[in-house]
Amino acid sequence: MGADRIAVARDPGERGGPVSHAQGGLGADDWRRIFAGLADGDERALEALYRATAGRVFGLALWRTGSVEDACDVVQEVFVRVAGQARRLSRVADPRGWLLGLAHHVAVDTVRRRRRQREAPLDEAPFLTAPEHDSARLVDAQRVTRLLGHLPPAQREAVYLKHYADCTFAEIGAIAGVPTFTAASRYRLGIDRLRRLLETTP
Amino acid sequence: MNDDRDPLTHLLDGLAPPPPPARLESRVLRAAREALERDRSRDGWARAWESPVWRLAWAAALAVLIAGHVGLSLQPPAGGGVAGPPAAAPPPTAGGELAAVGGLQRLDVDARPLTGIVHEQPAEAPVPRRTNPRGEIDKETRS
Repeated sequence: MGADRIAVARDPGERGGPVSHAQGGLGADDWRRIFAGLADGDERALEALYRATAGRVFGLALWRTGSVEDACDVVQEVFVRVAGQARRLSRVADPRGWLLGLAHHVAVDTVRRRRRQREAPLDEAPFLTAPEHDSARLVDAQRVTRLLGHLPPAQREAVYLKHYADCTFAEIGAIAGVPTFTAASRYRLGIDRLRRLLETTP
Repeated sequence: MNDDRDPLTHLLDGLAPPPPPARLESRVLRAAREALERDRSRDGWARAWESPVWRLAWAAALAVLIAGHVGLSLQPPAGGGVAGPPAAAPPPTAGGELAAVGGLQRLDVDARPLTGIVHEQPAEAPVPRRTNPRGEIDKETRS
């Protein structure tokens, strides 16, 4: 398999700047080519998959765990698991949902494990960023990051998936392993709480 | 809910989640390559053994065997009676070999049965009944 066949666009989440949630994402053919390459043991498919999806996986892990260190561990674990079952990936019906679902489960496991081990408080995760030259946006990013820290992880995750991963409520439910109604409820509760915090918190 | 006029939505639209750290790519890809190599180097037997489907099949087969064994051992005997200990249980219907032994042709049709060889104890001779002069049976010999 040639490298050009598995060359895909880099995940917008990796560019470092503001992300339009309408951008990004692989087409069905891209996923098929990447998974076929992985099944053949092609390491370039692994690199293509990382470039295309690492930003989303890292973002989801960060919003779920609330720690950059943990999010890095989650990303590594996700890609190790993907590589470990490369031969079976062709049977995955919804690759993007499957990958984000895997990230969700690994993140939840990581939080449980770390909760038992950790004594020091979590690092202050920068849930959102802005271009460095835009000082006003930077202040906004710091403020919203503080507000997001007040949300339960499940609500924060639903807001992330809806707003930055462009998922439907049904997809969020499938990723988090909850009914669609619960996913929608988590999102609305999270948004409502953020609004209240925004009004009352300086 | 009109999100177009919602300040929170505007705020979120102008911001973005941070990208993964640059150093993470090499670390993740190195670990993933090792996993990919391990997956490639495993033989068919190892993959089959680690396959959840195969493990499920093994577990299901074992469960069926155990259930069958327990079911057979708890099955009540024919006729509905209480089963006795195995030694006291009536012998099963004679098999073909046993039936053949029972139906052996006699070599000497005039042979006397074995029971005739053993001398039986002769029965005690009955006491003759005595009668008295009036013709009645004597009490001592009545029984």
